[in-house]
Amino acid sequence: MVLRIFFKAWRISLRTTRRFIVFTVAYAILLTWIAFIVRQYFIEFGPLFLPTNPGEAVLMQSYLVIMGWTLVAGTIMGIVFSWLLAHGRRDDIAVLKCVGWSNHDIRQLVLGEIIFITISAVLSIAILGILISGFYFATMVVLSPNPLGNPTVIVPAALNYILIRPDFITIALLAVMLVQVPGILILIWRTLRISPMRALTRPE
Amino acid sequence: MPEDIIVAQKVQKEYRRGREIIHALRDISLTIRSGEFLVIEGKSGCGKTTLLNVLSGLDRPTDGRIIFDQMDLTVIDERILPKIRQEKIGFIFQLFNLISTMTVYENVAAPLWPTDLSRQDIEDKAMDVIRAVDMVERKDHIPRQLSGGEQQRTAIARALVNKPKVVFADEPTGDLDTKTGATIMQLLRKLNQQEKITFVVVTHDQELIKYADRHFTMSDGRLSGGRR
Repeated sequence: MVLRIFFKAWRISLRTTRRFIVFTVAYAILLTWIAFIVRQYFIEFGPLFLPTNPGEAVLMQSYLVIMGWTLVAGTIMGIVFSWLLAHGRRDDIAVLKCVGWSNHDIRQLVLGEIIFITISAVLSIAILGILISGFYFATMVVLSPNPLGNPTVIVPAALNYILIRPDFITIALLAVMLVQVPGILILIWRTLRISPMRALTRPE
Repeated sequence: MPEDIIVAQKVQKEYRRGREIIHALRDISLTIRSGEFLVIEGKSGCGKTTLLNVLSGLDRPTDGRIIFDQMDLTVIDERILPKIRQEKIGFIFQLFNLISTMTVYENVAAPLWPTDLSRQDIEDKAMDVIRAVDMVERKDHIPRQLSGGEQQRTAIARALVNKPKVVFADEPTGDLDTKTGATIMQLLRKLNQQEKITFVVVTHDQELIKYADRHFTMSDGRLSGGRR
């Protein structure tokens, strides 16, 4: 029973095709952008980078500023999406409250939808990442002076070109989950405030 | 002798609109017996929907008491109300209020999703009422693929799926043509007689009075009548 509504939300969100595609693409772009910044940071400095001179410190600072603004933009995006989701669903939520859904059930429904969209975004960029890495790998094999190549050299080299590595995506996913928290809180607050009476009095 | 399922005692409801106080319900006392088909008729803005809200526990009166199935809705913990709605109450709306992203089957089954019932039990119960309103052929359709009458039949099935004690219907024929409206009212009456479910119908349409066991007239927040 606990997960029933959660999984129903997935099916229902798939049927709101336009909103689903827009949200998924937007989250995919956000995830990719964060993953890209993380990648660049790691390539430049490595995970435990400590600046050794003022030039490196300035460079690191600029990366952190870009990341900071990206997280701010992601937070705003999360809030806007949550607001739109709550707004678009308020008549449905009023009806569901009328037929006996508690606030807890409603929370499961909207959280289920947000989590599904996030997972869809991750899956879509993972598939994109595999395609891109496959393309790079194939290109490197073809362009290699030795057509068969040495896998111990080619594979790490190919992986180095991959834009969307699993570790970068994981970090990006954690960042996106973090920036969604304010939006989710607003969404829950908005849905809990919807009165079931709305179902009886809503305008035509 | 049927038991009293709803007892309203000296119910008042006031709204504040700016400095003005609107008396939506004035001193309403009413007893509804189990299995009754009650029609409350009145013009638009007379307080019918407010009365429905209050009788069903969606809203609280400013003064007075509502006893629903031996529970005082005016003092009950708000957190218990969804459970009461889930187990004892069904709603039918003028604009059907089906969820556009759900199929007929899902709309009907949705009230049961938060319960502890198994998937098979939910399916059985939903299909029973879908069959009762003759919508089996359309169970996989979404609301925009249905006519107004079919949408209302789906809404009726949703209202009945939890085997409620009382179904509240707000202008159930208000968005339907005369012929479809009559069919829907006959269906409600049939379900009332077969399943012994109490129906409380509010409407502006005097034609619906003929389906009632008792009917009341509402005017300016006051209730009169109660004739059989």
